[in-house]
Amino acid sequence: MEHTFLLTVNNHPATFLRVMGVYSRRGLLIDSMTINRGAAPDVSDVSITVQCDSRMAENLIKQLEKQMDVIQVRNGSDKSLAS
Amino acid sequence: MEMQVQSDEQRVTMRGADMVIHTLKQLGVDTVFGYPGGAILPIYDALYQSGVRHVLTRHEQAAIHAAEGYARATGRTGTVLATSGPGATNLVTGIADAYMDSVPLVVITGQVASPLIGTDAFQEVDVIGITAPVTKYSFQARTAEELPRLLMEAYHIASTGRPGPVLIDIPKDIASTVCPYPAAVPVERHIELTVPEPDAEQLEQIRHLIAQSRRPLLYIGGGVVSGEASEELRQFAQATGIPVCSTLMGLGAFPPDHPLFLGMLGMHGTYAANMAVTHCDLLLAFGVRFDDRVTGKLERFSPQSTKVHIDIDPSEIGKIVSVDVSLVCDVKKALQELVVQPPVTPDCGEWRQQVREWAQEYPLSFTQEQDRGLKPQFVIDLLTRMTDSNAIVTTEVGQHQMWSAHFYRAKEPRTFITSGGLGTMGFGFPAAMGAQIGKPESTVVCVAGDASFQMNLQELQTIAEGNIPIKVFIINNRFLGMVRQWQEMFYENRLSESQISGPDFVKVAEAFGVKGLRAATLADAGRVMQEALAHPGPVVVDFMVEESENVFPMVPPGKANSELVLKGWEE
Repeated sequence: MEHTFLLTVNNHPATFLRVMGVYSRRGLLIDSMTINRGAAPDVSDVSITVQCDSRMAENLIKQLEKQMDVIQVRNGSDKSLAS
Repeated sequence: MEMQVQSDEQRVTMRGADMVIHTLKQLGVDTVFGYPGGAILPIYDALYQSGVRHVLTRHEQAAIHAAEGYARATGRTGTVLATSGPGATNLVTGIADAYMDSVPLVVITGQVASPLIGTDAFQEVDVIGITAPVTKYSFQARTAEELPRLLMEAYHIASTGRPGPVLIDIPKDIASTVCPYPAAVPVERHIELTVPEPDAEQLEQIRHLIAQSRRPLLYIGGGVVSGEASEELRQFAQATGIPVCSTLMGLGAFPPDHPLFLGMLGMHGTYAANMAVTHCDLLLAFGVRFDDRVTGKLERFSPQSTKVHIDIDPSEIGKIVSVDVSLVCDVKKALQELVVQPPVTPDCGEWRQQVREWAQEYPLSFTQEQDRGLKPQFVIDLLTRMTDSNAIVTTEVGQHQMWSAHFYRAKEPRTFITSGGLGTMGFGFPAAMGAQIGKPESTVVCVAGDASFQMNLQELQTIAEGNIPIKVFIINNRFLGMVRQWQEMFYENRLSESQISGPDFVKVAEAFGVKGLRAATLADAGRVMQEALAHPGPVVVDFMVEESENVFPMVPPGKANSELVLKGWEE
């Protein structure tokens, strides 16, 4: 199942290394990814789409939230959370 | 330290390196473990005559394991210094070890000068990249001014929430830059960690589940040790009468002689603990992470229980096992709430009786015959009796580690220090040095395997030079015993590369100026151990034990906890 994760992150040099590590460690391939400058300085908005089951998606969100430079994660596939 | 007072602002100027040492002192760091080299020279220059104690190990890996031992024995954050390139890569095993076992460390590495970064300069590695998967966080300093803030954040992150290693990489030019010490430190923290308070509603649910339960079980782990929650755990178990089993990392958190204690669960757990976890109707998992060495075959792990998980790390909830009630908070605070406002005591007398029967049916045991060779379990049991479990014991990894878990009956938290998650051979000896430095009044014993000890035995020079009075007890069976055990059990006894020779450890110790002793018989063992424990300086004792002994009980890989093999092995 396709899951899109919407992240707000501090734009530090190692941020993407750590974010990518959450996916690559589990052998997930990224279908698409966009990075945009965020509303605040030094903050980026990131969208990452991967194929995985819902349990994995839940674990991924927790692992992403655990990263110090990840300010917020939303599951973009979950319509109830879409703003 | 080179300091100049600026008359206009009354601000002191100093090198980045001096800021590092100055900030360490402000933070109360009085001991660091490390090894100098080119890129970290400015920081070692600032360290010179600074009053901060530096322990010079003979390998960076030993420095970081020593810092882990220091942190785990004292509860304070360990600090490590190493240079760039090979200095940094030699730390990687220790960083991973600290990450797996949630040990608070701040690791400071030198880096090549900023303009050279990314050019494959001499002794350059991308240490941030290499260590990203095994650090809680990492920084590379961009300016000298930010160093005090980075250090303060690093110690805050390492020690707050679920503890872990934090790395700061400092390019040589940044460490050499002279600039004013920031007026107010911390300037603003970029990263502030907070831990949620226990949720009242979930606590009420937990109380309700306990009151309803007939077969409750506490499954406790390293979180209770690092969360300083042992006393609250004891009170809670006492008040509710719920039996307790522990992970390897939780040993010492609950009194081993308490009638409610069932010992360790999992692959080399006791019969009682594994039967209890299989048959309980309520599993209270406090400060644990459902490691595969604990759960055995996951589909059959604790199949009848409602599961409650309390942990400080939200990402642990539901990672391995789906739980019915979870609470993300400091386990100490949750237990305090449960002690102050206890649940209705569950009606579990029959269950306690059942659990006691299991414990009596198959207790941990060994047979030491008078006229036969030394049993490894006997040596460790002797250690328990001779120290009355008042020592701090570190272990290496393998059979002796499991026997130590079984027969060294640690009765206080932070007195059983072992590499749990990563299973790092070479950990125990330097960890004992660090523990001894952190706890100078304690008797510190490293129970080692003959193979594990050979992984970091260069540190004999460090303990000799510093007169660090640790006792190394080598359980010498001339084998990689755990490897051999698996080969015997699961690889048709094809003993591929598991027989390993060693030097004369007594002569090796003596060559370093450390007292060396040997015991090969039952009569020797008691006398020699007594002599070693009474010796004021460091000692290495070579206990020549029977080579064929294996660790039981054992839950074979891929089997359920209830399918544990009690003694011997017949396919």
